Amino acid sequence: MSEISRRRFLAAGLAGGAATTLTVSKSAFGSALLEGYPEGMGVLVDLTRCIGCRSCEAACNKEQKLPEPDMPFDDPAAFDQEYHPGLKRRTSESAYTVVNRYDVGTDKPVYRKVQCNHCNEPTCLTSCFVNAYKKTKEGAVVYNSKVCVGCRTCKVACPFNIPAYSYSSAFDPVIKKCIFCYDTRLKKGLPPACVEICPQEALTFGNRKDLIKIANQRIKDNPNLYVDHIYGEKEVGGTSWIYISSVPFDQVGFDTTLPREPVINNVKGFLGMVPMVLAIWPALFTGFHLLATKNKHGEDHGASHGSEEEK
Amino acid sequence: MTPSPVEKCAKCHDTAQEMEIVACRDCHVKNPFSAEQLAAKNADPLRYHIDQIGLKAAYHQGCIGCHEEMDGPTGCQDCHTRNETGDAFYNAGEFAPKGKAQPAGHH
Repeated sequence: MSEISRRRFLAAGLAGGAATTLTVSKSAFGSALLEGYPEGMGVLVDLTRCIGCRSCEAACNKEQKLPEPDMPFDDPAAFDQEYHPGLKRRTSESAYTVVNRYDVGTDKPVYRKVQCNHCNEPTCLTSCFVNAYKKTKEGAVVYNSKVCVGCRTCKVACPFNIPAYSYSSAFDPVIKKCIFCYDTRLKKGLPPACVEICPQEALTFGNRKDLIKIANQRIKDNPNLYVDHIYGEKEVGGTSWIYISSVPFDQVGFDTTLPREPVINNVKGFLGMVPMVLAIWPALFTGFHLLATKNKHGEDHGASHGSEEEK
Repeated sequence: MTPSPVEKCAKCHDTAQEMEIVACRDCHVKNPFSAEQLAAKNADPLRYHIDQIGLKAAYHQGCIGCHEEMDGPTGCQDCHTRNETGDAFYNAGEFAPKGKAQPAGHH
């Protein structure tokens, strides 16, 4: 009789576990196709239009009240700077955006602006254990530096190497990055400072879904000019900032090996099992315990080798 | 193949009257990303001209192309004389940073 109830118990336990796994998986992967907030804004960066004037860098510096730069914003020598040998400039605590020059064998160099891409499913947000990050309905990925503990996990997690760290601050170092001018502009329906200053409209501000249409139209109307790809439409689940280019993206510093799914999907299955463990394991092990105890009682009567060990 | 501008535009504009004056700003607005402009764009899902650049970009893109071909001036300050406000904005001239040699963007 006890054999049957154990079998029944185990079968029921497994069925329950499987059911929970299935339910959890379904809800966990349901957001794989999340395309961000429907009213989310974005910026389309057209690399063919950028002339490398670095006005966006200057505008960002003033708008975000960043410290004085190392050299004037109109000094083209900035393009020859490297933050490590062979690596072009990247974002820092004093520059939330930088423009880099790439000589790719075309008549003119190609310029590429770097800043936070404001992912639909931001990895920085997912990785932050104090929940400092937030994706606003306008599309911006913002953060609360008051709760940031300076662990720099988001720096490691970001697939675009964007968050910078205020190493210069001895007592209160925090993460620093582009916030899409959320506080001063985006919230009020204004484009970010870099977009407004751009003389070439290399940066187009609008609803992300409209920007995809615009990007597709530009590629369709000029098939010989553009590479047939919108970088950021699908990469890591889509980003608010998207790019079109006349040269393959890997030649101008873009990581073209990123997955199309959000990075979180790699761990969602595993994380989804955590609640299952919490729900199933107490019952499961209570069951085991009861069975073990029941056997022990039986053994007391039968006086087998088990009772020897107890002594 | 992309149709020529005449064929392409004529599909919708064949009945339009020839105008005496065509101003850049009739199509290219001063604030292309204002809330009103974006709302107007959203209000009409069938709008064809979804990618109308603003006035500033129209000038720059319209002028620089020819200037390059004709060896005309193409630098920013060839047309726009730099004043004090400009120097302050670009941290140039008397507002240039002094005594810093660290490369930008380290961490």
